[in-house]
Order: sequence, then C-alpha cells, then structure tokens
Amino acid sequence: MTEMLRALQIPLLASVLLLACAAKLTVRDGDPKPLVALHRRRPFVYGVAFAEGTIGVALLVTPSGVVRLACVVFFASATWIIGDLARRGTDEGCGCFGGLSAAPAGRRGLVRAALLTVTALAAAGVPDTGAQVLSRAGVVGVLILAVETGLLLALSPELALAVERTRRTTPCELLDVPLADTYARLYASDVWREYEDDLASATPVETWRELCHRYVVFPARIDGRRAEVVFAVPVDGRRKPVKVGLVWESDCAGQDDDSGPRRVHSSA
Amino acid sequence: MPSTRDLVLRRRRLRAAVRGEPGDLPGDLSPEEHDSGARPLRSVEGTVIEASPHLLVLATADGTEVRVPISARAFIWHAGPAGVAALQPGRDVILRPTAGGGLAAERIWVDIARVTGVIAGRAGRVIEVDSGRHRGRTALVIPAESMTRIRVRHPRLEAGSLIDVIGVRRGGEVHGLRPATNSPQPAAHADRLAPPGWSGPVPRILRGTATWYGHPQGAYGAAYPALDPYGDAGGCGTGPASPLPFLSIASELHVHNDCTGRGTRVPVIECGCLAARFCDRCVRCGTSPRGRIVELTRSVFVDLGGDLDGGCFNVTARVDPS
Repeated sequence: MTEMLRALQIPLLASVLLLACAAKLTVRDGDPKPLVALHRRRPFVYGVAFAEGTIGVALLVTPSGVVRLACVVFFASATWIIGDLARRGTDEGCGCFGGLSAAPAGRRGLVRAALLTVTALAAAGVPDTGAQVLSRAGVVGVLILAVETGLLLALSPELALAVERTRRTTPCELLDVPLADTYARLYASDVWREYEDDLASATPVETWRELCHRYVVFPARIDGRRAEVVFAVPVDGRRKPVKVGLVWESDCAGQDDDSGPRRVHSSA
Repeated sequence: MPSTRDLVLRRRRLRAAVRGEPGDLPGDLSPEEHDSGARPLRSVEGTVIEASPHLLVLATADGTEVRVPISARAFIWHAGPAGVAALQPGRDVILRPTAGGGLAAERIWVDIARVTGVIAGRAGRVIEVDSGRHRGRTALVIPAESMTRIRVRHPRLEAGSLIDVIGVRRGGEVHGLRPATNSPQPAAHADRLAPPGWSGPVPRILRGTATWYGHPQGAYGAAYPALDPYGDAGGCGTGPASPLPFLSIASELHVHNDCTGRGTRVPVIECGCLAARFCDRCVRCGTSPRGRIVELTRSVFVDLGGDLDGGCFNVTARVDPS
C-alpha cells in the first residue's frame, strides 16, 4: 500500500507541473513592464514554464533519477521563494500558476509548496514511470489521486480567482466598446430607420459616452426646420432599446406648436 | 469645440431630450444645496494687488478687482502658517470665506502648488515630474529640509515612480514641502497598478478620495479617471485603469465632501489619467473606502470645505443615470 501511495505521487507531481506550465503560458497577469520583480518578468516566466513542462513530461515517460532530482529541487526552490515572499509581507503573488496566482503569497501557498516538496522527495526512488503507474492504478489508486487533488485544490488560493473569473461578467458601465459596435447597433435599430431620411448628414456631429449609453448626434432637417437628432445607444447587448430625442436648433426653439414634429421618445 | 460650460449645457439638453425631460431642469441646484450647511462656499482666487491686515485686494483671472475683508481669525498659509506679510503683491492666492456665509476670508493659501505625476527624471534635488498629457511636465525642487519628510511616503524618487507633493511657488520654481497625503502608497510604481477587482454591478454612488490640482486657467470642474477614449468623450486613451464607470468630458457629478457635508454639482473638464494609478487612501475623516476617484480643481476643492494643504478629503460622487 505504501509503495502504491509513493508511486501515485509521480503522476500527481507531473500533472501539477503540466498544469502550472499551461497556466503560465495562457493566463497572464497583465504586467509586462520591465521594472517588475524577476519572477514576474515574461522571459523568466516562459523559461520556468518550459522547465515545468519538460520535468512534467519526463516524470511521465522516464524513471530517470536526474528527473526526480530536478523535480525535488524545483519544488524546494518554489517553497523557498514563496516563503520569502510571505515573510516579507509583499503584495506580490508567487506567479506559480501564471496570472491566477495574483493574490499575495501566504501560508496556504507555502504549505502547498512544502507538501509537494515532501511528496517529490518521497517519490524520488519510485522505479516506474508516471505513465506505468497510471496504467496500473485501479479504483483505489484513482480515489487516492482524487483525494490528493482535492487537498491541493483546498490549499490553492488560485481556485477562488479562477471561479470568479469564469463567473464574472463585466458591468455595462465598464465595458470598453468601440464606436464601430455602437454604429452597428444604431443602424440596426427601428429608430434609426425612422429618422434616417431626415438626417442632413450621415456623419455624426458629436459622440460621447455616459455610463451604459453612448450618445450619437446627427444634424437633421425636418419639415424644413433645422434640428439635431440624438440617439442613446446602449453599449451592451441587444435587449435594451435605442432611444432617440429631437432638439430644435435655437432659432426654432420657441416654436413648439402642432405644426412641427413632436419630441419623440420611441424605442427600437 | 465649444467651451466646457457650453458643452455641459448642450449635452444636458441633448440628454434631457432623450429622456423626455425639460433641458433646463433640474437646474444647477442639487438637493443638498438647499441646506445652508451643505451649500458650497464661494472661494476667490487671483493675484494679490494689495494687502493690509484687514483687507485683501485681488485681481482675478478675468481681470476683475476683488476686495475681500480678512477675518480676525484668518489662517494664512505660505509654506506653512504665515502672517499677513506673506500677502505680497504679485503672489497667487486662493481664499475661502467664513463658513457662516460672510464674505470675510477665513483661510488663505499663498502660492500653494501641488505636483502629482510620474517621475520622469532626477538631477540631485530637482525632479522632473510628468503630470500627464494635459498638464505636462513640472520641475520640482525638493529642499534639503523637506527631503526626509517626502521620502517617508515616496522612498523611491526614481524614474517611473509615482509622486504627489504639496509645495510652494518660489521664483518660478515649485519647492516640494510634504507628501500630499498621509496614507501609505503600497504600490508606488506607476506601472504596477492594482488589479481591477470588481464583481457585480458598478455602484453609481462612488465613495473614495478626492484630491485637487491647479488648473492653469483657474477652471471650475473635475478630472475623472475613467473617460471613454472614443469619439468626443475626451478620454486619455489609456483604457479603464480603475473599475470606475465610463463618463465623458462635460458629464456631471454630484460631489459631496464627507468630512464637511458640503456638496455641489461639478462638470468633468479633464481626463484624470493619473489619479487611478494611486492606490492610497485619504485619512482626513476616517479612511476613505477606496482610492482616488476624482481630482477637483482647487476652487471646487476649497468650495467644498477642503484644505489645500491637507491634500484630500473623503468624497461621495454620484453619477446621474443615463
């Protein structure tokens, strides 16, 4: 049983390393500037990811002692770095899983790295490759791996961030929406078709954004009078209607009788 | 392009047309202004023409001569507490009248300056500060006696670091006196922004820190960090550096000083591209819930009861729904 437990650590360590490699290559923390700490600089991160991927694959395909030693040294180094970050109380994440490890390094990450180091040490003498261990693992082996994976996830501050990232939708007030998207939304609306023939120019005289709407103003001539048509185009989704308003130019401002078009508040 | 005031009125009218409201309402008075204790004060800024212990004569930016009585308990600031002797002709002055509604000056700041930005270079005690594309670069001189005090909050006086210093104008130079806020700055480097951490809807009532800046034309308004970078919105093109709702030049904010209770409606006149880079908090009356959400021109800051030498106050800013 003890031998099986030791052997199962090889695929576990390999999967952790391959996962960390993939996370570093795909989840960036958006901080590529040169004056950041060494462990967050992109060339360094890519180098570490390459090393992790290499060791991870090697653990699966070869029982070489050099690979096992490299694995132990790798996790021991990670433990030392995380311990140093936690001791200094810095607000830096360890970057262990790329941009997902943005939270300041803390005890959980330190315990996880230390446990992985102990695991790598314990499994250093296993004669089989990770692939061989996996091929022989029965139901019990799968259950043990599942429990260990659960324990690692519980010790991973990255899990909460990953869940939050998948659930989070950016509020409309924060959406960065190019003008082209606004025009496309406007041209597809009913109010645009209603006023299109009245516009004196197809080029807006003014566009600006407030919260969830972008305002687009066109010069217009309606029944021989000069006016401005202003469209309020929602910046998100297609559920909210495009609204429209009509403002007469100042020389006609006083004329508000039934002879001209009324102020309109229609929706798409 | 029309002036900002014309643009504010124009966009207010256009917004109202979409909403089906009369364009001139609800008017310039926000609800809190009906209470005299919450009404903004009327600051005066200009250049000293003449001063006596009881009377100050100023030339304002539009050339008008203003005569302001000086309160017997007036506090005069010129690189620290000073006397009437600091009110020398030619000096730049901004004053706040008494809170009771009188005209007499209760607090007077002489040649006060603030330098906020990213350090572009340093030669000894002269630091070149890049205050963004709207405000350009300023040469900040840090006297030996102020260096230690400033380094408490800004230990890295090197290129790329953020700096925010209150100082005084002396012979065409700005001499730094003290850091503008007392809160620590955990991430002092301009390139190391706090990660955006919003979830759920963005509140349209924003609570955080208001700071001030000196507008060269003495304009009345605010610089807001999250202006839309497209069209005629006036954004800096730097993207949303902070999870703040997108607005535009000439948008209007109801700004309320949580420390004094005074509030007013303030137009956005500039992109505050640097404000969101600071993650310090104001501790004037309790710790502000978040960092800098608005930079007010110094006249607005003083109108709302802020002390320029204090550097900040806790603020609640409300954005009208569109």
